[in-house]
Amino acid sequence: MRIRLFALLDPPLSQLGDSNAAKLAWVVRLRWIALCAQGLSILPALRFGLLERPRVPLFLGVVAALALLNALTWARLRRESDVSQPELGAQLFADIAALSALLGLSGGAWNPLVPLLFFHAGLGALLLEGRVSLGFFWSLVACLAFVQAFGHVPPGLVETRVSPAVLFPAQFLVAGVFWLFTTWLSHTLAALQAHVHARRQEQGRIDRLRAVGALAAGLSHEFATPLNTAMLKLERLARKLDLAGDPALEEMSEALGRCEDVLRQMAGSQLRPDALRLEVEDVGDLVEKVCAGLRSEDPSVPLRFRRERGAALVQVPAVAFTQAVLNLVDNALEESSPEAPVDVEVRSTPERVSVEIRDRGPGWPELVRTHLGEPFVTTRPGGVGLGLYFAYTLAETIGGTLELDSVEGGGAIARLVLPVARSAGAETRA
Amino acid sequence: MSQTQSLLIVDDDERFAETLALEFTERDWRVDCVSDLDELRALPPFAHRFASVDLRLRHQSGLDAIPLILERSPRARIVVLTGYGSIATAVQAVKQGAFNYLTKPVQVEDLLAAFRGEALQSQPGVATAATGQTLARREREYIEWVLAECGGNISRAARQLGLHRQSLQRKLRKFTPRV
Repeated sequence: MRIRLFALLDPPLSQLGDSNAAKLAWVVRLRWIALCAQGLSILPALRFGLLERPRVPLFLGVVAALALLNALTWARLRRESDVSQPELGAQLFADIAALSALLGLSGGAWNPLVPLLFFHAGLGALLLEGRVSLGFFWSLVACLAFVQAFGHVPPGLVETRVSPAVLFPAQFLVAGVFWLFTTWLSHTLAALQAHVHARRQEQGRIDRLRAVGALAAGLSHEFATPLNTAMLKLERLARKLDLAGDPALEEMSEALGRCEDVLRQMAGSQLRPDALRLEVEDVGDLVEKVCAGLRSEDPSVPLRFRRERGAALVQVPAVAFTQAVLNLVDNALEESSPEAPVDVEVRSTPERVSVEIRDRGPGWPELVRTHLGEPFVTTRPGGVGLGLYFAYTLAETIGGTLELDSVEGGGAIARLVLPVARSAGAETRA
Repeated sequence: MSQTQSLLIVDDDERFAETLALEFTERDWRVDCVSDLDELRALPPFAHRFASVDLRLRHQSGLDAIPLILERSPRARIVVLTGYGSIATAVQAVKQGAFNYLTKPVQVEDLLAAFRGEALQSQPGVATAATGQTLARREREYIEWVLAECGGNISRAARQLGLHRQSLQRKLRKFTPRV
């Protein structure tokens, strides 16, 4: 029973950050408790001379009005769950107005329960934002001033007075401190929540990529050996039966070769779980190495590399990224005529690094553009359709994108846009 | 190769092992096949000249077969086969004493070349990758060349494997084909 009551009063933590309705629902629940306490407080207030008998109906009237408001709010929340910040602010103001009225009726600034107003300062700072929160704070100050200035002090209480010159400023100070502290606390919590959320998303994406990598690894391992057996047997068959050049055997051999291509491309994705550690790398260096490598392989390759001065630090799995860029550059080289240049350019802004690969070929086929992000989509005869898929998946994983553009007058652009490493200073390369 | 050669095949896929064995027996090689480490230990003593080892043996690692083979035949040239390779496993295999490294599927000629210490264009392996001489288009190997060329990554790989940088580079150089 006790546990259920607590559960009922728990703040809706998961929604506190973004849903005013959830906040208001919480306020309504808290207010029912407060109303009970206010009703019950009449007896001790009478007993200790804080409340005089003729003021009891007025006191009960305020409590009843607040209860009515709460019932209406409760009904309104069930009907519609769209709540604005000013409305939430008005609701919280109703609470402090009612509380101030009750305090004013029962001892004013000398009522020992005045610190309850400080609790409201904290509540407002937690649930309200920006100007509404500030407005709420000033109305709280006004309420406190009202309690101090117009509070009815019963004769029996006069004896125990603290000097107003000490008490009043102290009360303002405490209210201000409560409000400021809770504002800071709620900002910190919100930032923490956002950070945790971002990390979880990031981890989720990497886990997804790991799953793809593990599947590719498993598949290529499980298929490689039987495929190898089939290839060796087929070759043997052709040799023994003297069937070299037989069209059926040729086709079988080609079909097996096709399987081999797919396996090699899957194995070459470099998405193995152990290769997916994110490290801060200068993407410009990696891409430059890819280009230099291709040139050293074939000096006549029409590849032009350009990079902006300065570091282009991104958190990437180095091997998988290099593989992805190589796939894209290979694509571009294959699509354009032998002498048409392929431009590779690395640019960076404070937030983003872009790697652009541009060819002078026929541009992206519509099929490839509409199915970007799906595996095994290709229009090229003999193509496997994994290169773009792996590049796309990798870019998404590290919080970037792969964009495909076609240039007017011919040519295709593949653009990897990647986020700059958050702690660019924490470079890990030895 | 005039005199009779001998080959030890360590592969958990018996159909593949038999197919490969047949190819080599027809070339007048002596061939023995085992499918796991226990069978390898139980094999009568004989110093094979060559061995091909699958990296993944059901529940065992082919890497563990390498010292066992070298114990029996200290001069054996061991080629590691895998369906799914990486520079880390290649380096580990060489650290254990393997001579070369190929990815499945392989042709008989690939294996013969690997035993001789050559690397074919169709199967460049890490051998060429480490030297950067003949850069094959095979993409994985190309990447590994990039890795091998990148000092930062080498020391990182070395840390991961618990090797000193120099010794890792020596290991990598061992991949270099003896042309």
